[in-house]
Amino acid sequence: MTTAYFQDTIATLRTFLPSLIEEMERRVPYASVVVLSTTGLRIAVDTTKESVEPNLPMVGAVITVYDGERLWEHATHDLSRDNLYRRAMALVEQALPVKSGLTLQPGEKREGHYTANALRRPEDVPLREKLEMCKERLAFAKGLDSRLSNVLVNYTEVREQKLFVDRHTQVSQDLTRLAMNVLVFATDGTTQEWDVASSSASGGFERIRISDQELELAKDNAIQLLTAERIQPGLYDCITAPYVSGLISHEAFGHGTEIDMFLKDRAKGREYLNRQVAAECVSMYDDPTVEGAFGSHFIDDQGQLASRTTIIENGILKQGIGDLYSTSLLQLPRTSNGRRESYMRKAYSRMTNTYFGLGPHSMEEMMADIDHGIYLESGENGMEDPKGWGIQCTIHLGREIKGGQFTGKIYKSIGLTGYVPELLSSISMVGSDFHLGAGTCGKGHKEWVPVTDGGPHLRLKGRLG
Amino acid sequence: MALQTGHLITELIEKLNGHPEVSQWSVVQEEKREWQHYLIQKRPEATREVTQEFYKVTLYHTHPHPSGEGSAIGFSTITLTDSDLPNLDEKIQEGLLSAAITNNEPWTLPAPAPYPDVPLVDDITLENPFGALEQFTAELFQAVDGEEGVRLSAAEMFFEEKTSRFYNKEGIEAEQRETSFLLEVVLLAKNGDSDEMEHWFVEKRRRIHDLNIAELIAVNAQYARDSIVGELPKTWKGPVVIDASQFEEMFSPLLFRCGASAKYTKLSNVSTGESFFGESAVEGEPFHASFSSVLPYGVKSYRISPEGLPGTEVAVVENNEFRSYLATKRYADYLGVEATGEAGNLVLQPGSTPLAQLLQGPVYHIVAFSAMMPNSFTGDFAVEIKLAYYIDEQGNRTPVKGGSVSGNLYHMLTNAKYAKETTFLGGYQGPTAIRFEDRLTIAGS
Repeated sequence: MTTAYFQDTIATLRTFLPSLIEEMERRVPYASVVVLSTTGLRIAVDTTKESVEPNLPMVGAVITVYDGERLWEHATHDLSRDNLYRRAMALVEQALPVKSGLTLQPGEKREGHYTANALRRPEDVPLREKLEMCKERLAFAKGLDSRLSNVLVNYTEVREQKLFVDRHTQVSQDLTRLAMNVLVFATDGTTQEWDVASSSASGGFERIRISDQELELAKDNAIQLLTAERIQPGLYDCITAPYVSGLISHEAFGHGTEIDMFLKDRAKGREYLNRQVAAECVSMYDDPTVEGAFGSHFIDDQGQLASRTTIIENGILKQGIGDLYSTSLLQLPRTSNGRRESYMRKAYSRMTNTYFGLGPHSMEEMMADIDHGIYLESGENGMEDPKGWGIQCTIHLGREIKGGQFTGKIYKSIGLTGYVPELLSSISMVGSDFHLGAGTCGKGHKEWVPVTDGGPHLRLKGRLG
Repeated sequence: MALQTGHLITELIEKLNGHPEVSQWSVVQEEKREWQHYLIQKRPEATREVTQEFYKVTLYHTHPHPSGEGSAIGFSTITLTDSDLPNLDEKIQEGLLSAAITNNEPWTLPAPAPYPDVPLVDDITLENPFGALEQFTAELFQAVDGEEGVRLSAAEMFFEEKTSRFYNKEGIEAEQRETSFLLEVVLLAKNGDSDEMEHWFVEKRRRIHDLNIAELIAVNAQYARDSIVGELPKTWKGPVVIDASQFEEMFSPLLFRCGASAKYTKLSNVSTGESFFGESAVEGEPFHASFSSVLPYGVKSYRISPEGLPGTEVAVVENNEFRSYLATKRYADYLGVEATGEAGNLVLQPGSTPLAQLLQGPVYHIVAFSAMMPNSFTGDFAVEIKLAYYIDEQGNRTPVKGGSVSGNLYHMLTNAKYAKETTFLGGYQGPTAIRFEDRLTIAGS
């Protein structure tokens, strides 16, 4: 589907959908339509091959009907008015209103179209310039050391356009997310190791940049990992770099406060609202309004305008993040977290940019009195356990600290596990720096959406293995 | 085989064949319908029907290599829908713009071949998909009701029908129909005043009736109950038995290491005819692994691969020796090896030891990890135990959870014993468990 065709379709639907909603709501208590389009580009280059390809576009509409008990949805790639009308009428036939049913709260009137600030819109930057940027970073990185077996440079941009309409709302968004990473592989002839430098943003192309220093660090790490050992299991004094702080925030009380998990009795956090769950120095937020961040948006996939949610304040669990359905049923404040993987999936309560708040400490202060500890520098992945409050994070690289100094020794592939309140209560210092890292977040094993997580450096006690 | 073709495909193929700058092309037309059912406890949360249809067109552009030596090829995949019919020329030009600026070693496209008749379709469910999901839901409720101390937290069911049609410049015209069913169930267990604990599982099959829901609930309800009393494991370096349900994720680095693309990009150092484990001595039973895309009703089975190769079974490791790369046509041409298509279902050869003997204590028997995500490049992992059992010398079983297990897939396999009993789990066929001796470290109390 061409961009122009999609724009024309959206223009037509802006006038058609309100009347369709009105007609559906003569039969059911609530109806809405969201039109979602993601299109984009992926560039991949390494020393042996190169490609520039459009991403698989996902363009479709979701017609939603709520009958007082259940959501009925038809999701279709066919955006013609005839098809949408026919599908909408079939849905209201299927959904018989439940007399004593609960109501969904569409909220206050909202109207508007939102686009990101950009000095250079990614769509306007010539393809060749993007390819040359990737090739230049490849050449620079590969030239750093003869032990590098290959370097993979990936650049992606995803343009997300959406229109949401219900009886109170007609909002739309046009936002492009950008990500670039450089994977550096080192070999000693028998084994391979790797490290990565990355950059991400939403909005302008000018926000994407991976510096020479970041590539040199990735090269040094990959080479050093060739001889790195696994860590001796135990409880350590740890300092977490912002990427790892983010992984903890995401897995601990990001997933743990998704309100649809409350509804399924899958999150212990529900019982702990307004109770102490972390050290007093800890605050945590989910915030889709962070300017230029990869996980930001103006509206969620249910038409809710973006705003910051305070999840933890001074160690007290304050609020969860929710979608329309779960917040309405539990009568909790609605937040801008109703997100879909694409039009093919339902909306769930999902994170956006999730991070720990700032503190007063410098890195030197955190290091000073560590007798034997580990600096957890970069993470690979993690897994949530909102019911049992367990946590699993895989740390790519850890640096040994002895007597307040780095010893130069590093460890690879470290597991950080533990009981979430114990881990968060062990946080004794919070840094004054801040960084967000991009990734994709799944709900369990599926439903991938773009997010960031991060925060400052943290000092804590971690069970490593 | 003559396919049912619409206006778009006919016109598209004419334009691609007639375009002077398109040196090669392939088209995959996909039509999907999906029926989804979501439950929260025993009430329906959502019921959804989804349709998707598109054409994936890969264009190849051949041009002189910028180095001046020989020619280079660039490619780009554009996606079209019926609404693009008036703009085909513009879309083709858009694709060529990308294809013309990249330079790769040339390769050829697959030619037509006989495609195996692999059963992939659940015809019974297709008669009434929502009806089948309702029926399955009733059976799920009945099974959960029969379990003491256990209730349903949530369940999600996705049944999909997909028809793909393949065309390329070499003359391929073929069709594949398939169905798949994904089930996710979350159970909650409580015993008296204990904290309620959850246990969840995911299953994927081609046919709904290949899942025995009563049996699945019985096993997983017991896991949920055991999670209530599970303790932190001891710190341990010793024998560990891992259940087959964890193998698809655990063995995922194998796909990378055996891939021809990894070999070509110098990220894998395995060579055919050489030991798969390099210099490392193998102390346990020999390792045999293959990937089969012709396993009946396997979730990764196919008649025809996305680029047009016929489904087949590829033995990647036999008796610890690396035998064959998993190669798309491109990388097969580059390395001068046979093109095998995308990896199918993982098939491991069983051993000679009964499972009961593998579980001889003292040993940890891991039935579920929180999330097994080994590093694709290295095979390293560090993963939390969702549920395991410590089995002592007398055979007493104590549930354990938490703590982390760390190791490396390839190192583990050098001292492994495979169960004699086998199982089919949708994307995996082989022994029900593997025992690893002294290769894994459990970080616990």
